[in-house]
Amino acid sequence: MNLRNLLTVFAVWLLLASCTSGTEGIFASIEREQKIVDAGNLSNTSTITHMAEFNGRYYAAGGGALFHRATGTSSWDSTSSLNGTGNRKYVAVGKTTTHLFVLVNEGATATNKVFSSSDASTWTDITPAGFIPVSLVPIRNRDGITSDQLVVTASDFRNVFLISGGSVGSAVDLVTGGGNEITAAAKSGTDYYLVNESRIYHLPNFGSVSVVDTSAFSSLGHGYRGLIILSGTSMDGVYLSTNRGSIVKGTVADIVDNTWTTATILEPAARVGNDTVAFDQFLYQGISGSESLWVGTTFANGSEGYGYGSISTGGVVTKNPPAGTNSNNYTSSKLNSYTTPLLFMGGAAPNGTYFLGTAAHGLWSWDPVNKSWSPQ
Amino acid sequence: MKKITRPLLAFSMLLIIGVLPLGAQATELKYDHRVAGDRSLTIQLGPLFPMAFQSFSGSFAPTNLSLGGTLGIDLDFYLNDTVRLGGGLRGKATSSPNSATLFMVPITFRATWELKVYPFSFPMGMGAGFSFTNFRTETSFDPMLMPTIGAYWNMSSSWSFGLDASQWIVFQPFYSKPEDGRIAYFTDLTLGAIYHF
Repeated sequence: MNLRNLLTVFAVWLLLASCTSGTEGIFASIEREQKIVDAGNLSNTSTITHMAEFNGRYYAAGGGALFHRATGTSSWDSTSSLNGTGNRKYVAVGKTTTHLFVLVNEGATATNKVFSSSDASTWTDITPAGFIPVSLVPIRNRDGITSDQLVVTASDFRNVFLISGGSVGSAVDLVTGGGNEITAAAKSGTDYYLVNESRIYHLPNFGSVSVVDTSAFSSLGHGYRGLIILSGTSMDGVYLSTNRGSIVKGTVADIVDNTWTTATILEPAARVGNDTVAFDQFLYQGISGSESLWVGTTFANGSEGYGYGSISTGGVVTKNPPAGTNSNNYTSSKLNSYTTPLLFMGGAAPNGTYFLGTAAHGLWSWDPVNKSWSPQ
Repeated sequence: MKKITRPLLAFSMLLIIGVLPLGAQATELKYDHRVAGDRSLTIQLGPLFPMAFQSFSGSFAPTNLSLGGTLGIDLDFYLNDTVRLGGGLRGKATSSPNSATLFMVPITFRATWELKVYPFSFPMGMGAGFSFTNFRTETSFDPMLMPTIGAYWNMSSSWSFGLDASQWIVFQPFYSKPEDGRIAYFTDLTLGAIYHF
């Protein structure tokens, strides 16, 4: 066998034998892998969907416990009972300027209740009489980060309640409920905007509903999830996310009367066919030099996750990895395959502490220097 | 150049270790199970050293993998008293920085020539075949080469014991993303027992 024949046999052998599944080479991915250092003692299998910063501590609702730690430490404690009575499931946590609130599921009766506390020690049941609360959602201010009011959805999916200070307001009837809880809320001045799966509600002064939008983006299949109204940033505007792979960007004028005449649809460049990313909640990340709007993901098409996405100041959506993220850390952490229902920032913007809550894979914190994530 | 020589130097040292005699034998044996038509069954066990990854453009990089272990079995057929042909099955496991396990199961066809210096034999062989490679949820089927050199003490006509050192050269092109293609180099050093029959 001469050299040419030998090389031909080798080439055919290489071509026929090589067969790799997946999106990256195995050896190459191992070469790029980075050690993920656990930065805290929180379970890495917990599901964290809501967080709040209150009186110098972070609070995270994690199913069977309310986790909390001082903002300057890394060691988490947990609370499984309120006022020392009964174990509960912690569905959500939120805060106002004066109080901390939790939405819990009572183990004994399987009934949801809302509790408030001014010191995170003594809790008061403030569940609206005659209603069963099913969601507790922060109303985002126009910085895209903070919140000092909350909205509660009742199980009829029609009645909602505004929480300000330490009290819960009267029921406001949305009239058309849509069959889903409120998933996101934002305010601009005294105008409040609530979103559920198929509708956008405009409530001036959180009084009565002035406009209900059900059709503006019906071509997208609805599936509304997140809403944010940004002002004072270089990417001001109204952003609405859908679990069908799209993000709508408009202006405040668009959402006031729901005309959406200047709205544009943003989608990841790689979206192909059913490659649908189920976008969820937003968080404005204003760190100098890497300003962007982060958008988490929710469940869709089964249990597979999609990490989170990043929207640049120019409106470009990237994911897996999001722009500005250390891609080796991102893929090594497997965040690209997790569902990320929570994006949260504590401390003072823009250089506070950023958190990413996942479904069943714990809570992660952001290192802005290395642009990497570590589990808490 | 330095990166290239490092794995080769380590491999060479392992080869030197591999040819060190394990002991002496006073009585000459009848090698009646090492002639044409006879067979040998080899069992090997030992550590595996991840040496380097190389891109198809030529650059080397550390593997990021921990020290691993390997277990193997070979079945060979003697063509004459110094040359045998056969095949082997190996398995190896090693861990990534985040403790994910890389599994590889090579299946190779092998030609081996034995240098015999009574009461020792020094097999030198070249294997070629395929490796089933699995890491996390990804699986690949990769061509590979496996040169081997060893040193054995022939305790009896049926049993030999010794050391083998093998260089695994695994080709993993990735056609949909060519920059992800790699050639992986692993070196194993195994204790071996050969049964001749």
